[in-house]
Amino acid sequence: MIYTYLRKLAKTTEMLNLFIAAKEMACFSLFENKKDLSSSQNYFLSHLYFYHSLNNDISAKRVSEKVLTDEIYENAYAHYRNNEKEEKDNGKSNQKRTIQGVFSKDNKISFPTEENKNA
Amino acid sequence: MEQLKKEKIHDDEVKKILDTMSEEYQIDKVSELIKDNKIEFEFEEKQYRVRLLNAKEKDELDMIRRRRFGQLLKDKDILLESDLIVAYQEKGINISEIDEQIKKINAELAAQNYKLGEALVKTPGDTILKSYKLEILKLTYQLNELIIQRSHLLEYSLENYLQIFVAQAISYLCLDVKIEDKWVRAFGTLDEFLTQEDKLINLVAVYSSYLYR
Repeated sequence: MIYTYLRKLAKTTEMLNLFIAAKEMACFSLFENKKDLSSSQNYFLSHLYFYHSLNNDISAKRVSEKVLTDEIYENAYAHYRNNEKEEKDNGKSNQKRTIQGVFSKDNKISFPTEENKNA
Repeated sequence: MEQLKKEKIHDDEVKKILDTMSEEYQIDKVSELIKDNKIEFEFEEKQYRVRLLNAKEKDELDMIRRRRFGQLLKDKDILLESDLIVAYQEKGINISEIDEQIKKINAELAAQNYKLGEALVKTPGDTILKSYKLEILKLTYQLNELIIQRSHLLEYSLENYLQIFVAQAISYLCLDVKIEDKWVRAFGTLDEFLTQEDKLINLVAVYSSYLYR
């Protein structure tokens, strides 16, 4: 049940704004701890990445706002985008790359690393 | 009759408001939890708190987990998951067949999710979106049934016993009680914790699962 509320919280404008601020300014932080994240924090953070990325796609008109009306739509879109990106990236090089803020096939977010950022 | 109707409408409205309030309240609580990984609650007039384990407590957990694993391994009545799977096979129950079905449904789910995602990008009508959604719901239901069936069959495996024990040990280690404005470990030993009321044990189990899943 908590995961439903964590996802709803991650979708709120307030949290997404805080997320952007925390990304850009060191003085903002989402959590009191900087490491050793709990499972709830990990889940919440992955959904912040996801909704941030989804809102960017909506702004860029890559997908309509309808996607936000249903969590099944949101998951399906994340899955589609992840697949499309992977195919595109595989076409460019044989190295696998992850996509910031988008669910992987097992419905988890792949975070960017130094290695795949520069791949 | 009219009065009854009015009361019914009133009850429904109250329920609606309560539901909304409850969601807002829950989101608020969740927002507090993720800030510092601490959940405070009251039980029988005592103030408790569930929190993340520190390095020393993690070592303690590791030690009691290893000790319990050794005990379970010596128990001839408890089978390892792999041995239990073989025992089931001899009785005509094939777990690998369930695994294969799970794999198939997962692949089908991925395909349906891709189709729905693609449909959302290409913005076709609601009917097609709803039909993909229904298919996904149906497959998810089938998948959950199989996962439940599998976990019921392996309920008595050593691995499952150990997992339950570890969850209890985490609950015991991460529970503090407030005494004279100071937080101290709530119970001296795991056994002492496990003899408390089920309601308290279950509550702590739920809260600690929010931190360790």
